[in-house]
Amino acid sequence: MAALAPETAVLTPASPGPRRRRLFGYGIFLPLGLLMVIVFVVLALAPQLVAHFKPDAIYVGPRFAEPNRTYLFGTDEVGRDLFSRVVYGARISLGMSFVVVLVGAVIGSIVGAIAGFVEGIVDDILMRIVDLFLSLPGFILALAIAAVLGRGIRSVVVALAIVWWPGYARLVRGMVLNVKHRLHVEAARAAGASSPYIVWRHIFPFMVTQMNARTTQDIGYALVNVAGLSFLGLGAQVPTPEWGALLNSGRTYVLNAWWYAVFPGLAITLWTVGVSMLGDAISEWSGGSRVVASS
Amino acid sequence: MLRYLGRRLGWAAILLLVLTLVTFVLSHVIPGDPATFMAGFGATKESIVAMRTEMGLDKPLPTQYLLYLQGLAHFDFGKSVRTGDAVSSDIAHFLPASLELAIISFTIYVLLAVPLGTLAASRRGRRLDGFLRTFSIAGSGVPVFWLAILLQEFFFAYLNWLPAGGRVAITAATPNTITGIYTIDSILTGNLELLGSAVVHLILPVATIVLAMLAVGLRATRASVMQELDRPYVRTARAKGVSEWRLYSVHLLRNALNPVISIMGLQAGYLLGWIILVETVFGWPGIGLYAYQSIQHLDYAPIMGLTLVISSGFILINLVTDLLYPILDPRLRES
Amino acid sequence: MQAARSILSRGSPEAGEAILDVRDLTVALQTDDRAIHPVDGISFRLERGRTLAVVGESGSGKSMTALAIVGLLPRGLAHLTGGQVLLAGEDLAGIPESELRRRRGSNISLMPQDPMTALNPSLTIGYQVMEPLMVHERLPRSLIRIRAIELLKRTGIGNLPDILDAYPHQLSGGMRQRVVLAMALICRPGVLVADEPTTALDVTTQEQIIDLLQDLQREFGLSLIVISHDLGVVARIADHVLVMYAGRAAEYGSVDDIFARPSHPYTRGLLNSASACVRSRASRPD
Repeated sequence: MAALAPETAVLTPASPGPRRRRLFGYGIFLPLGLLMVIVFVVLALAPQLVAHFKPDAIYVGPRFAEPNRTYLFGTDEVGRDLFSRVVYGARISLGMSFVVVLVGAVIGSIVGAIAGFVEGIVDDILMRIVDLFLSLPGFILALAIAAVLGRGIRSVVVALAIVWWPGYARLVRGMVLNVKHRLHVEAARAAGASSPYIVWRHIFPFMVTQMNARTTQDIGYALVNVAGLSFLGLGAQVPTPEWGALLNSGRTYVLNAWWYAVFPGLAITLWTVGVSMLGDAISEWSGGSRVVASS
Repeated sequence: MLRYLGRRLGWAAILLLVLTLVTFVLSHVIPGDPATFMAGFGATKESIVAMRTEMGLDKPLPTQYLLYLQGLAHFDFGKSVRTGDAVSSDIAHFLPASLELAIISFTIYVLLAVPLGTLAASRRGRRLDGFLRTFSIAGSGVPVFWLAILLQEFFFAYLNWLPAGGRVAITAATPNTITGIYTIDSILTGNLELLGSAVVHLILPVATIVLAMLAVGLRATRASVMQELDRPYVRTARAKGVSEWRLYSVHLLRNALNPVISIMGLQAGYLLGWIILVETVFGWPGIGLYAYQSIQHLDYAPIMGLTLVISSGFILINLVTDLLYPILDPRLRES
Repeated sequence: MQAARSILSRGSPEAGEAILDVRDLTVALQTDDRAIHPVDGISFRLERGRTLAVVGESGSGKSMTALAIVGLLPRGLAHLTGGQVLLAGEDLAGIPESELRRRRGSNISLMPQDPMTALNPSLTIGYQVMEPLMVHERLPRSLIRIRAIELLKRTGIGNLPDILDAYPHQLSGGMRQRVVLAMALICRPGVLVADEPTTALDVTTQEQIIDLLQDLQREFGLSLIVISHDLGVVARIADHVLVMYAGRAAEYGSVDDIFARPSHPYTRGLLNSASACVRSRASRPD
């Protein structure tokens, strides 16, 4: 019999043409996001590559100089070069958000893995606690915790990590349960493998790939929260050039030094957007499909 | 349905209790000397001793907690070192301004996001897809406090079209406060000049919040409506000769709104945090600014009190959102 | 359109007169590559008061044909590239969407596939059945309600208390099918296109639905197009048969002719794999 006319077709009704997609791999987001992230990380690790002045050197130029060739982002109220401050601030801002996500992810993963693997009443109790945390507003809670712990970078990092881990616990528990009920784990068990072996060889690698997308994006959101708390005066203290703190200083000079508040905020935005795009691309690469079948 | 309501209320009550436990631990357990902590910066020895008795620090912890709860039941959040007044009266004083800002912003946001998102869903354009996706990624990366400053810089510092902050012009007389919400009060008292001033001062803060949430809301609505458009009942409705308008308003929206409400509920939660940041930038005299000033001054009683109040609001919003689902979806209504 | 409406609502069927005349219907799929025609030059006539069965397997294009006739091809995926759909002399393929919308549900109705998903889960049965009347005719709400209940009784579920206030998820598959049927017939259309009316149902319910369709056809003077891959259904209900294969018409004629003397190898194959009672129907004189 000759081939039948398809009533079922593979179509992508609302996405760009197939050829253009393939050129960029997963759209333009992956290379762009990757580029932005790499640039920022390099600057954080080696700010002296682009910054000409020390971040706390005062009066390297006139007060409130407009952005020009020497002072790319202008100068502040005591003549410090804002470009250098922003660049050196990368290390602090990014560092803080990395630590928050790292600690949160590690603690959350452990808790979630235990809950998912052991199940039963341990799972119930742990997840209740997680639900409690998740039902309270994170930013506010972190604010209160950071305030009580005292001003400074450490307080903010601890406070945000405390607020961050429940999300990972939920995520990891879900993944563990998912993988647990898959056949190959059953098969391994049938072949006599012990529990830790199962976790290590089967569950762990799967988890790692799934987590990558989430953690990548989280670093962006963590930064926004870190900057937000610093903006309110809780985190990095003057004269540390953390981006949120810089914004707090800058907002009082809206009338006479517009550049002061623009560039630190731009840094936060570009980092978060870059990291979002990267995370988006990673999740597409590891799981999502874009083809829609219709009949 | 009633059982569902009961369960949700029960959970909310537990949350509130846990919340009080958290603030208790933060104020009574963590600080080295809770009395000095709460008495504030530069407190005298007498006030510290008084605080010690007031907090019942010599008693065992569970008793302290019960005392604490008792105080909370009477809305006693302690005293603000900075203002000298009871925190609860401070909060009551500043709350209406924040409510005005929050409610107006959220309402405008919903009224923009749902129709525009639905409109975007009805047009399956590739360029529109790409644009919205870019807008949404960019939108979720822009910190709300930066956006606030940018708007302030552009519309006030540069164009001088709008005021830098505050609720009304300094020259305008404060109204007889009925609700404390100036827009409502001015309408109630027929004070048009005040209404104009209040509205003008609302523009920037409201615009900031709306813009910050719009990217996500538009995309969520569009995605959800597009998904509904693929469902079989849409074809059935069209086969009956139903107009596109009726299809969207009667058939589609009540199904499409379910995930959108989830997301908006989440956003309302973020809004509570953003209020603090936005009020700080615009000098809007609400509980957000009160929080900022308390932080600057290391005034801890207000911070704890605000944590309780704002978190309770968050719990309430989630409760309301949870109750909306059965209203929209009849399948969830069985008891 | 008033004239057309009155023709359609005239009483007894006059044999031989075609109420629906489809000529050379062609549909193209929108893909970037080669053109695919799920419906390729299909022609048939539906006589007033009679039943035409459109038969074929999955992928033959029969559902697409039904959608194409009422103008409900999935937008952006498929479109009509040629042919005419003459409903009482008027070409549906040539009129604008707004006009077409007025015919849909009132002059020609589609009863969609799969009753389990065809109804809106968030709207009451009552509303969904009353909606075509609300859209197409200006009648007071109370009158519409009465008509809805009457029709639901006629289709076999009107006696249930509060049926109008029930929601689809509270009904079984068979009940939902009756609701969908009522929705399609409430405006007394002249033509009903039933897309796989029995596929999602169990055997007993299938019988009931077929009986119901036949009763209603006699009572309302309905002209019926039944789309099915089930030859048993075709044997019971059809006067004429259009066999589709790969988007084209493989065979077209009266049901007796086709069952007794299939000329196309595909039809022969279909009949061979059909059950014995179907084949016995074919050999019976009628």
